[in-house]
Amino acid sequence: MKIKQLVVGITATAILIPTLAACGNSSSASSDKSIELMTTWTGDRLTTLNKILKQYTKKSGVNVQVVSPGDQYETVMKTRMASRDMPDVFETHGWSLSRYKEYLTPLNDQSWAKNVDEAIKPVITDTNKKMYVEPVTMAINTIVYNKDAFAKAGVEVKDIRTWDDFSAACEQLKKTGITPIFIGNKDGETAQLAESIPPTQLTNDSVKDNQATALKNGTFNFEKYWTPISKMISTWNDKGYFNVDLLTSDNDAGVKQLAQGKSAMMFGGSNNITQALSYNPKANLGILSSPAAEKNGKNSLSMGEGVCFGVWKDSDVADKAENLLKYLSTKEVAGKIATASGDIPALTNVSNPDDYMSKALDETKATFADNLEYIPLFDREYLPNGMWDDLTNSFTDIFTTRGEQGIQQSVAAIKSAYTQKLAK
Amino acid sequence: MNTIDHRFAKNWWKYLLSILIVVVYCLPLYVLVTMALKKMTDTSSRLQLPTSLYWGNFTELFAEGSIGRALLNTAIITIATVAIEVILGCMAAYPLARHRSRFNSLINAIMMGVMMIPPLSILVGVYSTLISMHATSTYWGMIIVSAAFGLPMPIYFFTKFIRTIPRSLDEASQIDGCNTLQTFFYIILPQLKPAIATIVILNGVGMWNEYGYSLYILQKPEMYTLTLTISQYFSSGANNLNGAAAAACVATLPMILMFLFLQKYFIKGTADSAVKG
Repeated sequence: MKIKQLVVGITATAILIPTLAACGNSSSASSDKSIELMTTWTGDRLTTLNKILKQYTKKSGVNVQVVSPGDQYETVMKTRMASRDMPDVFETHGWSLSRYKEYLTPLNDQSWAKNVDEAIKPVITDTNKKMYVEPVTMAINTIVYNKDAFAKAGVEVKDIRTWDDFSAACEQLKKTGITPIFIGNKDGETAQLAESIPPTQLTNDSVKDNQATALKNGTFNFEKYWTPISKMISTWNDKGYFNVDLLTSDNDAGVKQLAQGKSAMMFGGSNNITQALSYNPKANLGILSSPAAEKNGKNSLSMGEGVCFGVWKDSDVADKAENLLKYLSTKEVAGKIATASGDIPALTNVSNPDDYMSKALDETKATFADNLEYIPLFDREYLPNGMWDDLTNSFTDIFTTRGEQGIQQSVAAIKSAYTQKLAK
Repeated sequence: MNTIDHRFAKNWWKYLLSILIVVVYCLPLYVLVTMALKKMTDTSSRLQLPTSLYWGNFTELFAEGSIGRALLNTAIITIATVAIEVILGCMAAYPLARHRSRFNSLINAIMMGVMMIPPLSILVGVYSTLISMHATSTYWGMIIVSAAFGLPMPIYFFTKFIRTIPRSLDEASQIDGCNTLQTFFYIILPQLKPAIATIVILNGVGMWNEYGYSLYILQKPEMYTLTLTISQYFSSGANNLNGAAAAACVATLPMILMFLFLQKYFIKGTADSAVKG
């Protein structure tokens, strides 16, 4: 009898649990007409976004279902793209044109479109002058640095005008016992070097032998123009300017070291500053512009999409989604999003003058004034889609194989990936 | 005493090795607990004990409220999936074990084939099907997919196990007047207890820790399982390792408690199934 009872019990459990659970989940049917919004945010930032969206629901009566897959955002989005089941509103994380354009509604006719900052406009506008996202913020993706570490080593930001000046600063920092540059390549962060170094050598307006067109039309000579880039990084590596555990450490370890002043600089986004401040709220951090390749050249800041929301073109609730974007573009809401993201507001009617990041940017602007160029993210603008991992692999070759051989491998790797991806 | 000393002197390396293995196994748990009891601003080594115990990660976790829902979701999905796998698995295995026909060999081969397919390799197809069935962010969607991927192993395992049970038991029950179903439920199923215990452990723990498919199927926050809730502490721009460690402590606790209370059955079960299988 016992075994019979067991079987009946297990069967009943198997049948009843999903049934009961389905009953408990019946609210999902009523929320079908809500807006599904997918974000890269998690933790405190997600809490902020949820608060903003709850306010919107209270005001408009429209529910917003927030989906947040965390660091798996891209993989989930790729699956949803393949299944043609996109969220009604989603973040484009730097790929509004090259990856998501065909899934998005053009938004030029929206009321907030006239307020889009000129610095971000070229990054989110295609050749037909169409804009597919609402840029709530723009991200600065160059170099972040610890001001106290610089002061301790006697390095002045205003003196870093060329890469030679940058090397000299690294030397001074190293002598003081501070790791000049931290890269956490466990997360593939060597690719961040590509947002700062190649533009200054190849594509910035102040570059004499400009290679922007050649990179876009596939006639770029990698041996001639990319070798000096790999060589410069290799020299820095030989001189010990990078953290010794570059290949195995993660970005988070670098952020901690930056917060403590044990490392002076990190190549990458200004979100590193926000994260570093969560480890050490008293950290004294700033944004360093990329120096020029030659004297009399201009320093540059790579600007990319920060928090940018697009609307799925086949959404059943496109009108509601556009209204939501309108709400997100308001001065108060966009300001809150900019503060939470650690980015700069990308709408001209929004300003965050007291925000840590805005102050850091203003400081950089004041230091270099007219000698500062705003440029798009190099990989998004000049390389074929999907080159990020290839950039990581190419730069990693420099660190795994020292000397000339590593440089050659690095150039060959990036050339091969570029050629293959351009041919697709 | 002398005998004990002598035995220890002779086998000292075994004790050393055992201690090393225990340390290796306990180290991740140690790091997990110390991280959970440190503030995010504490940048000391992950191996270093906290200078003072910080319970904020746990209070935040429970104050936020999602962990309770995640525990319930995980329990529902795990229990339902394992129950389906056990019931259908042993019922399917019985005829496969007793009737060695060409057709059954083919079924066995298909089962083996399905076991060889990495589940994520057919993700897009499965996900698109679930969309068309309106099964995303539902318990039943997650359960049928998990049970479908999990079933071949129990069927294979139960088939091998039932083959070791003498056929004469079936014949005796039939002489006593049992039909096939009665033979299965009264004679075969009681013999399968050790095998069922093994499947419950293996597939139960696997389902409790499932992440790959739930990431895609359970996208609404109210449907998140424990692994998805922990993953919320990581994003491309910011990580909260201490919060994640606290959530992971809570997530592993039910499994540890279950094992502590039921370990004698599990150990007996795995040992018996190893001997029989």
